[in-house]
Amino acid sequence: MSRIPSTDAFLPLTPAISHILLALADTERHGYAIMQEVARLTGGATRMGPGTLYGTIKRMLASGLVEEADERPDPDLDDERRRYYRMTPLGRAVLAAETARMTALVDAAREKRVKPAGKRS
Amino acid sequence: MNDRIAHAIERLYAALLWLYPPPLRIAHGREMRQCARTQIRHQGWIAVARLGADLLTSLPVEWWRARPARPHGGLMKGLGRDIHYAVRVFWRSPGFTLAAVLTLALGIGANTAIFSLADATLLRPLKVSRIDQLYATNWSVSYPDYKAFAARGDLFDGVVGASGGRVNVVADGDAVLVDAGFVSGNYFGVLGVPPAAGRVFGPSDDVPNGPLVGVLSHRWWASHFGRDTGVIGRVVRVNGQAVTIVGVAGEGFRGLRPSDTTAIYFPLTATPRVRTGFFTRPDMLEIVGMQWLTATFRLKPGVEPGAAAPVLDSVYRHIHATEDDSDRDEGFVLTPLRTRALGGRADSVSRFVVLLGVVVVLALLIGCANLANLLLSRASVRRREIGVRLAIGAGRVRVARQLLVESLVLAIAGGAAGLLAASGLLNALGRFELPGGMAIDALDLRINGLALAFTALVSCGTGVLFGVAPAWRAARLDVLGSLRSESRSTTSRSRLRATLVAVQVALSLVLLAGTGLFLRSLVRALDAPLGFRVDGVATASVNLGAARYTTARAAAFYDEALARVHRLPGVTAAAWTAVVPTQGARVFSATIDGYRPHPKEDVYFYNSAVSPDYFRAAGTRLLRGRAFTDADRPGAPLVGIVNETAVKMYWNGRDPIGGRASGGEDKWITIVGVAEDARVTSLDEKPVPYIYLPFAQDGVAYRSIDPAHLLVRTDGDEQALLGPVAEQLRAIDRDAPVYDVSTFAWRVRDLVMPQQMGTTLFACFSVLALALAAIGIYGVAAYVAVLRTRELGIRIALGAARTDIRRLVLRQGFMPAVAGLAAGIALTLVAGRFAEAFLYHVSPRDPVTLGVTAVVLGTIAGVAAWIPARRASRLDPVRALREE
Repeated sequence: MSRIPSTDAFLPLTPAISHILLALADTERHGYAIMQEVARLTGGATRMGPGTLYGTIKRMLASGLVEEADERPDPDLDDERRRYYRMTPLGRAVLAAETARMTALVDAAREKRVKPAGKRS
Repeated sequence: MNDRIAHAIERLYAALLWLYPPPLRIAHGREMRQCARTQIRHQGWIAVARLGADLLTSLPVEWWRARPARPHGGLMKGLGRDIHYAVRVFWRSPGFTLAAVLTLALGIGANTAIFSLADATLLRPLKVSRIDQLYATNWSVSYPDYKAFAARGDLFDGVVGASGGRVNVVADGDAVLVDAGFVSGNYFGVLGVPPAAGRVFGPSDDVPNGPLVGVLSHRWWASHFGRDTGVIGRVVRVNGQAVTIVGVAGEGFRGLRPSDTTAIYFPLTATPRVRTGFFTRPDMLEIVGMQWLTATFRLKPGVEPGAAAPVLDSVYRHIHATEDDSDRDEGFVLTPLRTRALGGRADSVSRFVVLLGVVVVLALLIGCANLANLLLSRASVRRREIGVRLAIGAGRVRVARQLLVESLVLAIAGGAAGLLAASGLLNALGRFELPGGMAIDALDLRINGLALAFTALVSCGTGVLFGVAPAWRAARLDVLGSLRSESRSTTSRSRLRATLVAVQVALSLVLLAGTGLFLRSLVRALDAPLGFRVDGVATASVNLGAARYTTARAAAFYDEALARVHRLPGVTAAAWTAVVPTQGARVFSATIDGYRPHPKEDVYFYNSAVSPDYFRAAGTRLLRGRAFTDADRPGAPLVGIVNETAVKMYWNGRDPIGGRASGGEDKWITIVGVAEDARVTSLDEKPVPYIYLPFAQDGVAYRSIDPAHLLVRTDGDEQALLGPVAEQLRAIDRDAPVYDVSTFAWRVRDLVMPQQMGTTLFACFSVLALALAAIGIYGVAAYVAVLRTRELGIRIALGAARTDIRRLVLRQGFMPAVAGLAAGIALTLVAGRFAEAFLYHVSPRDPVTLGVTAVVLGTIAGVAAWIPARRASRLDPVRALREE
């Protein structure tokens, strides 16, 4: 992997793409696991259905942010074979760039003393 | 939630997945279903709500994202790309494209041309309003009769009277002889013909001694005056009289016969002043006994023609109470104008047009079969392409739309080329005449838009059917199979192709047999004894009556003309005749000295008046007695020469010379000679009794009332003589209208016209059909050979004899042809009846023609199948197997 395409073209990320990349940041997961992880990360605020999830995954596959790992059963669920996805180096770079952008945003907000809104519902 | 319900909901979700754009469904459908199943199992009814919400939010997003990725999306843009792609596809296979467009063009063009002809003759022969109310009668009537009929407003919405003749018109110093119509004042109004410029006649124009006015036909206005509206109000001289042009009749209107060539119309009451000969009598409009008008009736709605005719009879009897009308044993009969418009041979005109229609529909069918075959081979070749497109995510609808667009592009190209073909064909048709002598040229045929659209639609439909259906089927087959270039439907596909080839061969055989039949009858017709020899004869006609010649002046003209043409180099004989053979006929009732007719038998003579040299000039053999001489003048004893049929009929085969016949008024004609029978109207006529009279003793021709025709025989080229002959006639008198300067052969071309036209047409189409059929047969054999390359390679590798391989492939190509030949022969035997009326001394079931046709077609089929068979037998087995 000598060169990685510029990450700038992807920014800012849509919420769906950010969440899927975050869900895959530590390990490869199958679709249902991604849905569960996203719900957990957002405290249940964001729940992706199969349509949204796979529509997004399809585009992420096409742009090279994620790739298919392999197909195997998930011991936590049942013995059905499931397709696993993992983040590509490009995906990792894009997630890092997005995190940097968000961090800058949050820093700027802090400097202006913008207070986060109350507790999430 | 129990398992059964969970399962049902999962199935429902799986079904709803079909709502997503195909690429997503194909790539992730299984996983989505799996997710949903897990979700339902873990979350129960909450999952159902969440899945529903997910469907509602993600469906529009996915469709929006799936739209073609272009800056300005939309249907038209996509279409533009499809069309562009289609054009590129066709550009890359020029052979296929050319074959397909040519096939379509000829099929569409020929059908359009013949439909235009059918429209002008059978469907809408006359451009008049509500033609179904218009009726013609079987009798001519006098002007008083006409007036009395027209007064019956209780039966008719209008009665028009018309009479035609030739007039000499001098406009801008040029004298031209044109056909004129003398019509009642209500003519244009009752027929519903509007003026194209100026005005048409009204009743006020049609009064005795009114101002002389004329209305031009649109056709003549366009051809002679260049559509100049300035012509209205101009004064032209017609047969020496000053006539003011007041208007132009509506475009397309051509009188009451489709082949009418009337150039100018005058009011009926102008007849005595404008016309010549008999018509100059000042009491023309009062004489009850002169029946010179044709009356056309517009029946009131609800009036039956059968009810109107007896009224006409009683009106007629009232006017003609004092006359002996024993020769009028038949009352008035009203026939629809539509039928009458086609002339006496309406039946044979319609049969002929139908025959042409059958020929072109056959050609179109053959073309469609061929096109279908072409598209089928393409569809199988393109299975792979379509498979690739589907595999990389093209929707099936998109692929089908692309194929549809390709068919449409093909049909549009074919239709455009068909337009060219149609106008070319119409031009070619213009050189022919319909049976009965109606010149197709005079019909002013235009391309019929309706026919063009219809035929293009049919061809296009064929294209879509044969192009899209197999492609759709191919598209529905599994993508992997098509990529592996396995053709599972080989058998059914090649069976379909074989059927198409059989159909093509059968139809080709019908056309080829038709060509053979027409060719044989043309040969027979050309060999048939005519009773005159047309080669080496130039002809010209004059109408001295139109130039207001007196009898003495006319006699001097005729004599000087003969003297002048005799001085031309190469002229061996020259003569005047009142009738050019086959160009019209005169008949009189006769009494024969010593012949007692059977009760009810008509004794009559067809006749002509001819000058002394006629028999040498026309090439009619004089069998006995003498020809006419200059001594047979007015005042000398009346003499005549009869034909063989007259001798058989009226003299019982005995020598008629010295016998006498009379045409009435107690003027007895002494027979001085016997001539061979000559054709009077057509090739298949029954011979009729004929008498030739001396030109100088003839009442009408010589006294310059009817036109006279000059026949000039040369031992050189008659074509070269035409100019000098016309020049000599004009040199005598510039104002004498000279017309129809042409060869004798050209004038009698009518005789063999049906056979000639049939031969030409059938030959053109059958050559085309043969070529298409050969391509089709070759295509099937080659296709089968290619599909079975692997199998053939294995067979050869295993030691099959090359001759066996050849026989195998040959049989694949040849068997459908044999089936087609058998079907074609059966079809020809059944369809032959259509052509029977146009064949001359040849049976439509002529075994020689059918046999030769089948052998010719069989040979061509054999060759077309043999080429791929030979190629297959030379297959290199190693290479054949490696190719797969």
